[in-house]
Amino acid sequence: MKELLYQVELIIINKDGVRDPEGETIQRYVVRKLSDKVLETRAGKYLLFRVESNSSDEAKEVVKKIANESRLFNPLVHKIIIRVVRDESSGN
Amino acid sequence: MRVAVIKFPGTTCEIDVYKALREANVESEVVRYKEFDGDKYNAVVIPGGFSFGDYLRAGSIAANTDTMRQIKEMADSGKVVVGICNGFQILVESGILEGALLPNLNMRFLSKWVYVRVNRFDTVLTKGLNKNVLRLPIAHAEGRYYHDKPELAKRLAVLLYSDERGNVDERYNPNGSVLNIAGIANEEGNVIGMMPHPERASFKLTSQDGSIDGLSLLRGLKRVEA
Amino acid sequence: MELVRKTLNRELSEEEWLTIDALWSEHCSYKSSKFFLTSFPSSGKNVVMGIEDWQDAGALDVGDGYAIILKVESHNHPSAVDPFNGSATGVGGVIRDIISKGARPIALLDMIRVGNLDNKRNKWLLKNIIAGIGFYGNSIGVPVVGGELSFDDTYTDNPLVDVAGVGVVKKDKIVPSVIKQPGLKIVIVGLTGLDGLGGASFASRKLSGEDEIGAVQIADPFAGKVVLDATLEVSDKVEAIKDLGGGGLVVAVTEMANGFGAIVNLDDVPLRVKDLSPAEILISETQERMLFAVKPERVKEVCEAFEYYEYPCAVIGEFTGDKRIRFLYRGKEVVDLPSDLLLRPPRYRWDVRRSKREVLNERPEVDVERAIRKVVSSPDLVDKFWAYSQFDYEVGTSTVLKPGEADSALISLPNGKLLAIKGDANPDLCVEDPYECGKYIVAEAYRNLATVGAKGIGLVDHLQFGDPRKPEVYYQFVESIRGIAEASQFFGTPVVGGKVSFYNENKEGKPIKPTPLVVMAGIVEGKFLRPRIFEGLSIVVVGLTRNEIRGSLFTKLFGNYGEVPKTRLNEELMASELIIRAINEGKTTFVKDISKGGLVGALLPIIAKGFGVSIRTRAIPSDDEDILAKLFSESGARFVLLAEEESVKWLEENAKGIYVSKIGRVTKEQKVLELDNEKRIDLSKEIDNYYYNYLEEVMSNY
Repeated sequence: MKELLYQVELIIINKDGVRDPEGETIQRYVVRKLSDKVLETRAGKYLLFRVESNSSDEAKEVVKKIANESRLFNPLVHKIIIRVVRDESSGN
Repeated sequence: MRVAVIKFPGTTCEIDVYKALREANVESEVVRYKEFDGDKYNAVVIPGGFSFGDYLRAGSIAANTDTMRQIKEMADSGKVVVGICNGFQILVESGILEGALLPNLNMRFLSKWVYVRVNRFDTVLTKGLNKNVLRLPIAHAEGRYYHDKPELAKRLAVLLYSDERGNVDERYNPNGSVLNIAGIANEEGNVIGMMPHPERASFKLTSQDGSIDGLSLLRGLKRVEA
Repeated sequence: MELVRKTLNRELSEEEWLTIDALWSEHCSYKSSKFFLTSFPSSGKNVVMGIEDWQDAGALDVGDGYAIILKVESHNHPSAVDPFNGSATGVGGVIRDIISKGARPIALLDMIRVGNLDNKRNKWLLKNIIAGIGFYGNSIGVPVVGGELSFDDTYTDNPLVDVAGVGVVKKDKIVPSVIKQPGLKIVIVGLTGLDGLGGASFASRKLSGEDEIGAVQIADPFAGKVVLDATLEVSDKVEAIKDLGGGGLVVAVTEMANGFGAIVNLDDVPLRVKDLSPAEILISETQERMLFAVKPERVKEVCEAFEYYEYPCAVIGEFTGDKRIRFLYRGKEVVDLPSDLLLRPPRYRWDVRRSKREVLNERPEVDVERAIRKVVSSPDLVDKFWAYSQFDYEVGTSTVLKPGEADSALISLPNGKLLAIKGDANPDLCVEDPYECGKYIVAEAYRNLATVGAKGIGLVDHLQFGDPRKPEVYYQFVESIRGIAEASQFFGTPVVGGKVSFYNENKEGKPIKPTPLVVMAGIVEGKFLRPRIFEGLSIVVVGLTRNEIRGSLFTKLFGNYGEVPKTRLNEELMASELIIRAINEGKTTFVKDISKGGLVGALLPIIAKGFGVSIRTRAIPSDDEDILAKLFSESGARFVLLAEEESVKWLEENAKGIYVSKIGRVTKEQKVLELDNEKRIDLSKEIDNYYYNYLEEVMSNY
């Protein structure tokens, strides 16, 4: 079976309970001046992978493995969020 | 008093710039960002540092302040605006100067003495300069100048990373800037931003090789004061 | 525990036990070290504030009414798990101790020790340690002007991240850390959060499933910069300042109370998260917080300075005269303990035992050329541009000698004087003989200052060892102190402050090599030297080389043998004084002390600058003909100088019992080391591929 193409998004963000000075500063000096509806702002890093895979679950696993084995994040500080979408541009 | 040196929270170079301006016989005062009143000054220097921690993007939060709205009015009315390092980043983030300053190509903070060639002699700092190659230090993580119209960038460029003889080549480009651009000005030449720190090349004792090329640049502000 | 129950004759609350835990922790009470630390010489004409004052940092007189504040501290354990935030918060802690004295921080040094870079994790550690130090130091505008970066496998699980800081203050404006009278308001700035629980003594609470987050402290240099600026604005409006460091609020309040009492209402502490328990508020080690003792009428203006930056500031209680430390929470007293009890923890003196290990003692048969190539390729000796270029070392426009330019950093002070500052350690020697090592590192620091024309005036130390309950480790600790104390007494460089870090060991419980470290400050009274090299200059060795090669870089590479170097204190002093005179008389253009890598290590920077070096080994004054000793011994009291021919004569005539010998000259043969006119060793490959490229290359591919 021909492999499909997926876009896998990896978001690295401080865990709940771990401070996020960048988000706090943006909240305090930018966001709060424009709206009182925003209760919290958090900052993180975003990586986008284009992955060849047979299924979205498998694509997700590939990225999860990379993240865990490569120190793309420090598990002590960060948590990761992985999201998968089909890459429509691939024509598959 | 005509020259204001702006201190944002996180600015680190305001005293250095103040001292260098004094060395250049330019009278100035350090003004905290909330107290700044543009009508009182005919020139403003935004020094280096890490305004608001440089969180999000270097200079982006400072660009959102009322202080910068006032400085934009000053720039539009022809008053002199100088941005050094973080000050350059703030000017670009505020849209007062064109282009963008991206993370260095090697993704690291880089502190180093470089040579720059002067490409324009029609700006407030370079008018009447008697040298065309300057020795200045850089220290930044986000200094890769970018412009989507290279032709325009070429025309606006004031300082270009070079070797000591003024040869501009990719080999002397410390951060991946387009066309080796280290500093630019607007068309009129009253607004100028640069990544190198002229105030750090203003004192013989603490300057690499005793260079005081930075002082020559800062003396340009004397004309404003008059 | 029994002791406490007996003294108080009652049961204690959970919060009270935590209070005692924190105050009596090794980190805060120095319970295993205090007895010996009191043996350091800590007075002298330059000492403004010494170690016995129980302050956060020491102060030395630098003339014209100014004093410098010196401080050194490590952040080893946090850096081992989160190197970026660990090293960054280490910088923050040192800076806050300096501003606590009302001093403006003007320079930082970082002394980094990690395991071998063949190991991927060590690269990850180093990369993030350097980035973290840069992140914090650069953001707050304090230049990192010097430091050390070296490698040893005993640091693989336990890297050493030592940061030293220098501040400057008018002598009569130094702010104490403790109060001298009751009745002052207790003011805290900054938000208290969950982060940093688990520092001194807390069993961190678990969130997000199984992961412990309590011990993680996130660095916020922007908040650090706000605290720095605002604290210096208010420093002459307050009676005492203290950083909230190890042990958190409870320790800061108790120590600041200085034997007086305090009453604090925990409900008034500004919190980052709502649901903190009183125990958590007491001992949270959240960064970027300060504690002030303020006269009631000045509280408003103090808080306004912080509120300008939208930074929280609150009165949380006051200092009392009743010698009791009390904390209230929702109207209930959760802690009520006598000040005396908290500040007088039981002291320990553990057993000492000299380790009886197998000692190698065989001189290796090694080809001289191969030995030279191997020594000059050691990562300890390579150019450190990769590291220091990540630091904003020019901010402040006071950096006279740049990182990598000389053996010591040199900065200008507000009174126009020049301050030299250098950190030194020698774990390879300390593991062999901690007493000799203690003397050696003080002497080496003194020499390093002399190479730029400065005379040492005082030092701070940081003593890093394994588990003190192990007799062999405690022996090393005590012996190092003996050595450091003896040498600092002799040189007139009193120990004005210091820190102790125990329990540095790897996962198997094997301790690091003992790593006491000293950071010495000195003043240039006359001229300073900016090293310059020209072709044709004579190469002069000052001092007698001894065949005392044990514990050297050479024996680390080729196998240990021989004697350890003994530090002859008077010889050291005479040699350093000769160097300072030579600099003032303009008799030399370049001076380097002979230490790591021996004579070859000292010649390396000349060769790396693209010059050739031609030497006659017979001309090297030595107590032994052994060529390995002549080239690689790290025995002390020695320097390499470059001088004009006529200056060599001056040196010989003014040597006062110190050996001076011209051993060769600087040639134009690029990167060639020539021995005795016959052996020509071209080191261009080592210099180009290794000396300048090693760190860049090894760190770029991982």
